[in-house]
Amino acid sequence: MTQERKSEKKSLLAECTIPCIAGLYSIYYFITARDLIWEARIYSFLIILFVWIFSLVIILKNVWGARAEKGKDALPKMERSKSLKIDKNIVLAIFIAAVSLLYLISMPYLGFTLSTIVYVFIAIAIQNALKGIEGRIRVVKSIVYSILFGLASYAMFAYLLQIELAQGYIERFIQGGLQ
Amino acid sequence: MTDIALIGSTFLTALHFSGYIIIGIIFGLFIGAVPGFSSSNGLVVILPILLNMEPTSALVFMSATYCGAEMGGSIPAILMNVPGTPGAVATCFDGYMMAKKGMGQQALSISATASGIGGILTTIPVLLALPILARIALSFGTVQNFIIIVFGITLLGKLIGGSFAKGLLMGFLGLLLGATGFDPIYSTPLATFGFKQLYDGMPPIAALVGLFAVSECLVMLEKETVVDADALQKVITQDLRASWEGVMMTIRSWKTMISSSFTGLIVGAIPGAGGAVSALIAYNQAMAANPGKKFGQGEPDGVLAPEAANNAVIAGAIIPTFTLGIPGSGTMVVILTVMQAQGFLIGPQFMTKNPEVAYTVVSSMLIGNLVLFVVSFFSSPYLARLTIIPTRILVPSIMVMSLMGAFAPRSYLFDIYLALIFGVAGYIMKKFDYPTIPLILGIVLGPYSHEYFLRALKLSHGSILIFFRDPLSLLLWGLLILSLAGPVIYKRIKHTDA
Repeated sequence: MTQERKSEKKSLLAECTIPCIAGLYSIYYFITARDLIWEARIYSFLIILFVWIFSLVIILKNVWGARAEKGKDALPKMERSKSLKIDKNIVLAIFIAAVSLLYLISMPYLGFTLSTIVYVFIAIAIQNALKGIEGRIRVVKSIVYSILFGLASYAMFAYLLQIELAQGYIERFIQGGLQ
Repeated sequence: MTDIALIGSTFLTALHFSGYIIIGIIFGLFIGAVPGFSSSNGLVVILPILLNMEPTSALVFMSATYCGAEMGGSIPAILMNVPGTPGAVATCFDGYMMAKKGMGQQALSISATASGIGGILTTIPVLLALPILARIALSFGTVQNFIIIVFGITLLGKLIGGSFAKGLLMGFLGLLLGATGFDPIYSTPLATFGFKQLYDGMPPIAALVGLFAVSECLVMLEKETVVDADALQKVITQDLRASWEGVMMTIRSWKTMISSSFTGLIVGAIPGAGGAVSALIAYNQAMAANPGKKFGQGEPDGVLAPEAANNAVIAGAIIPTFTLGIPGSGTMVVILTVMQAQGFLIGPQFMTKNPEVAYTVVSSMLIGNLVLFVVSFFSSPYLARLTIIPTRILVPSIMVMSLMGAFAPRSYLFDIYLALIFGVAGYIMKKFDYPTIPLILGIVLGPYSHEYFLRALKLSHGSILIFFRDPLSLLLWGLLILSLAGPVIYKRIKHTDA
């Protein structure tokens, strides 16, 4: 199989991912709604029907589009351009999403301020590393920025907006100092 | 109290919100000037602040931000050929050419004047027509409200994004997600995945934060800075000397100014059309009306027309948002979500229960557009310099602010996780050209459509014919079909004639 054919398959799969997820979610919804009385069920069933119809339209359109182009030498440009190539940007997005998830997991244990400081610093460091930005001064600057941002956002959310944030060492230290 | 007296008194009330208007305009100008960041994303980032504000102040602030962002989008469009907002795409054509000719300051001034006048010209008729439109909206019952929601979702799905099927899939998926949790009549939990946090329904703020802010941050990672470094040099060298010349250029082209403003007003009233569509239509109209002028080569009318139109869109977008609960644009989706979170009833009931709030917000837009002109006239060259903030600093900062926005309304950590999931989903959707706006609109309006549908069926003892019985419902269905099939039929007829 040539590289282009692989890319075509990948593209088709990528294009059909969202309709498939939508279809699966609506099946789950359908299951939870199946025991309701008819009047309560009909709304869900109608919406699910439309989700299935449009999912099917998108999937069939992509399958037919790929088939129609199979006979031709060149692959459809549009399809190829939309294939989700694993490039640097996507790796970066995956990293940032993963770090954000770790940030949320660590927040109840470390507290809002410390987890935010660590998160902002790591997110900047990952971007610097993947974008090839180096330098000791930059590291110092990002540490200073992370600390200032963490403290400023804590002050804004906790004192200005009165939001109850996860408590950690820093929060207890600040509150102890204020009292 | 008569409507005119109420409008007059709310205008005075709006004056009390001058502080919020000024800050909102400046904030809007800033976020508009950052390419890739529109008023909708900007408002999502400051959600914790908005949800803690007094409801009317929050609405006034948001509408001022919207006005400011539409103008702010023209700053990088003119100086760097990078539209700050989708509404500023058409401004690039002549604005950047003017800047290349050394007339960047005049172009910025034209943009400021056209945005201010365009906004004022269209807000006055909206303010006067709102009571009449509200009365019409009030004649809508449960059945009509349901049809209007379906109409809005369908129209938005059709107008936003390239693919009709993708737009509609997202809209209907949104309606399904919005109908998560206890159903409004029979109290049966639907599609909660066993999470108690979803019993009250899908939190729209978490979805909004994820789909608008988190996904945009992930997309923003692709750039080093929001604009190219060489383009920034141009921004720094601009000054205020030629600004007055730009104001005079705008006044001389008053005919284009008026026609573009009203084009923006009409397009804005169509759900989903938004600033970009109105600006492009106004630009085309100006070209057709002035065949002697050299559009695309640095023609002042080429800046004036789209800028007047994209600010006039706001007044137009207010009409369906306040009277029917159907947002006229992406930013109106955010405004509608905040309204819902602040405890306002959205839909035709909003105008009955809170007429003074509606008129105050529209009145504040009059003041806002005046403030916009003054502020942007003096500050636009300096605001443009804010675009130098590197994305590696911007992204984590925005992520923290917006994720906390998802946490603020209910204080559930679950909502932040949900926002992150929606963010990743939004990123994938953006990569494959699936529009996010119909999805979020579906999530916001889902509980309402579910309730209206069930109530209508209760009234008719289970007969689905209730949706097709009265003339008003039939008229709405007819309009829905016409809006879907009309363009196709028109194309066929045109093709046959050719």
